[in-house]
Amino acid sequence: MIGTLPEEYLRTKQQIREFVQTDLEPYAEDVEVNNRIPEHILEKMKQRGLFGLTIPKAYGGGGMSKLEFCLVEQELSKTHFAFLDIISLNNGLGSKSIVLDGSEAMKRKYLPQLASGRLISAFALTEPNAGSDAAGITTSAVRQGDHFVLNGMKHFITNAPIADLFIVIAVTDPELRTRGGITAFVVEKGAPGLTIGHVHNTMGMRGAHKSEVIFKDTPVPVENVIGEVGKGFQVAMKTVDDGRMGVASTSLGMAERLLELSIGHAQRTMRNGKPLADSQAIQWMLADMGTEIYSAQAMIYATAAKIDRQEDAALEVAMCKLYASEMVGRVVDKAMEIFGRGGLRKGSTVERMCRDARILRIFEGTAEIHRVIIGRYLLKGKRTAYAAVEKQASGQGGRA
Amino acid sequence: MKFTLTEEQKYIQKAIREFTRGEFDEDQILELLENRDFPQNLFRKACKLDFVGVGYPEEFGGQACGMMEQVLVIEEFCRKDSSVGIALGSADAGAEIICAWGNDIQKQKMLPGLAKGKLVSTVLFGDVDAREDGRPAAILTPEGDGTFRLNGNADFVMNAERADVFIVQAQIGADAPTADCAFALLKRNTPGVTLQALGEKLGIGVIAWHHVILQDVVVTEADIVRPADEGRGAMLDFQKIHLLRIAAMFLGIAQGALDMALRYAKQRVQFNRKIGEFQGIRHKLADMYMDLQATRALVYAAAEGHLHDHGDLHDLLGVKLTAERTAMHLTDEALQIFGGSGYMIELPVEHFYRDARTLRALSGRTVFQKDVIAQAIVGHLT
Ligand SMILES: Cc1cc2nc3c(=O)[nH]c(=O)nc-3n(C[C@H](O)[C@H](O)[C@H](O)COP(=O)(O)OP(=O)(O)OC[C@H]3O[C@@H](n4cnc5c(N)ncnc54)[C@H](O)[C@@H]3O)c2cc1C
Repeated sequence: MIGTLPEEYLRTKQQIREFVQTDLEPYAEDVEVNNRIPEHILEKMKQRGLFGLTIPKAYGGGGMSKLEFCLVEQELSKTHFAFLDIISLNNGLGSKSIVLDGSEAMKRKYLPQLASGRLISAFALTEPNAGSDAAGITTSAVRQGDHFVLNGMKHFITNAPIADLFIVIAVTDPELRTRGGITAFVVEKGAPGLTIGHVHNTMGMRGAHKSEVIFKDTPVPVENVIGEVGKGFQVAMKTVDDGRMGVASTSLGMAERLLELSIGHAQRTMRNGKPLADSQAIQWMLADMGTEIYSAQAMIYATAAKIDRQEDAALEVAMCKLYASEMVGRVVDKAMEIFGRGGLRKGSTVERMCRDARILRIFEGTAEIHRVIIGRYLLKGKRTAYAAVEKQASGQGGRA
Repeated sequence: MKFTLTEEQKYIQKAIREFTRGEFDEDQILELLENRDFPQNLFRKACKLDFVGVGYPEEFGGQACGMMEQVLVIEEFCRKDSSVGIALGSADAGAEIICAWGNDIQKQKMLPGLAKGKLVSTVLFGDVDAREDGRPAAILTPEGDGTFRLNGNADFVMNAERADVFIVQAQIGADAPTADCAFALLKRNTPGVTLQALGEKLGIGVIAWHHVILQDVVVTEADIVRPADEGRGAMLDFQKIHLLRIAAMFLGIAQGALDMALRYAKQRVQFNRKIGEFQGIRHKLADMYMDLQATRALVYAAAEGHLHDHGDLHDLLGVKLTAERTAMHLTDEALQIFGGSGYMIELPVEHFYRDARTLRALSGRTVFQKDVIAQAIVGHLT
């Protein structure tokens, strides 16, 4: 599979790999301990254009295809997760909706700044009572003259404490909801009534900050609506769909790193005068890890290429996210077995990845929601793509 | 499914449930974890209520209960909280060595103190991953004047900083494997004992871990516990008890994970329905329950069987590995059922997940343990 990648993509992959090794990995432990990426490293990442790789060239970005960007995410995930996490928002959830549905003025205003990393973005969809059931959000946006007034609370929002820009999904018509009553907005930091609430402390993902975002009578100009009023759920779902390839690529990169480390450790660690790697049981673990990694990689590259050909790949995207995120869980388990007690020590990459990888089966749609989506898709055909979840909302539940 | 327990066992189980429900405060425990503090208060209370040392003879402060009662106590501790449960369940680690082979003076010196929580103990094993070979942590060299010099080291020793007494797995004389096998009892502050902090670890944050170095530590005969048969058989017996205690911890952790998952599934609403109404979630819970009950039956049977004969090491390894697998499975699914909330440090399910994985790695590599089981059932084939 790797052999069929264009030269140019392989070069990008190699460059990112070198950047990771020389510039990022030396700071991985620093990020973990201090819970933040050092400023000068962020600066380096910005200079490299990492914040805007997927943003069209016309707006100052790198204009990368999906496949090329997946390779970047894969390589970036081999070091501390926070590095990838911070750039993934500006390249995905934090900019995609503007790229796909924003007005020309909005694109000019925000995209170049997102691409340069001058603005950091966050994507605020989830609420305490609306996680998997994203259509169940209650944050409201009421039109008043040339403004919408936002009220409500979002939680678990990545980057929120440091974000300059929030993509906010809110209800403009509680009667219509997903059928024309949800709208997406760009809200700037410092908007009146916008505050950061409780900052969440999580098992992993140190250095990546998540918090509640509270809106109290927050005015948002009408021109900050992304796409059409009432089409926000579709805007959001397209964005989320896009981001799922990122979770898959992250899973792949982390798993590859774990395999690399496991091989090294199995070769170096002696027991009864022989390296661990001489044990058939260990060899088989490595074999399973490698096989599953290859399988995820093949899925991801093929799916990304399909997206780049502008074909509908929603089903495959869901499959990539589901499979790769569960795959890395199994790889973590085996790596921990190979590392034994040493793999428990803070400061070891295995210990960190054990905690970091666990989020991948939860955010951007849980594994269960992905099974719902894939199952419906297989049974009902293409057009129900992301409508599967939506359907449950309006279906048996009886939400009007 | 109901397991048959004696009246006394039911009484103990009920008493300890009341204790953990009444005293294990979630917020306080999260604070302990954040500060990496040992649950000293809970430990004192547990001692006061005689939940520590239930297996010791009555004349030494215990209640002369069997393995089954010990399993029930540890299970309930860990069910309510994995970190605190492991801490309380291992504060008198190695006491069974003293119970089994200590002389009356040694028993008197240690057991009542351990039961009352006035003393804390820890065990220094040899390399845990070589433990199946019985390689001890240290060597006792006779000095001729009736004293011994103890030299060796042990990695990843839990509770070393807090333990008053180190129970060191040792061999007498350097010539393994025929050498006599014994345990040396050391005070932590004995000259020649050095602790090196190993820093933080994945889980069980309320107990610190250390590398312990023993260099020319002087030990007198009075502080040496010599198992009756002076051989490795004794070491095996101790290992079996140790395995059962760990299995009980895994069992409790698994039950605790199921408790939390059930409570959350019955209460969390998405798509206008309790998530416990979705078949996928219901079946996850069913799988968890099946796994848990099968494990419980096995652990209880092993504990009961312990009364009659001590069971085979490979079987007890199997019991531990089964309980371990169940705890891995249940903590993983419980976290998943909590969705994003499961990833938050503010809720306990997250540390149950880390603790299960930590306890797994601490209790040795699965690979080598399976070697022992395979050796027992397949044997040497040439
Ligand atoms: C660290 C972190 C970062 C995040 N970052 C962001 C962000 O930047 N922006 C944002 O908007 N959101 C973010 N999220 C939110 C994330 O997307 C949600 O947590 C996720 O979608 C799950 O929602 P929930 O947590 O409410 O769980 P719930 O939806 O309550 O799910 C609970 C359980 O029920 C299951 N379940 C739900 N519905 C069904 C069904 N129909 N059938 C079967 N099972 C079902 C779920 O799979 C899960 O196991 C983040 C979350 C975390 C933890």
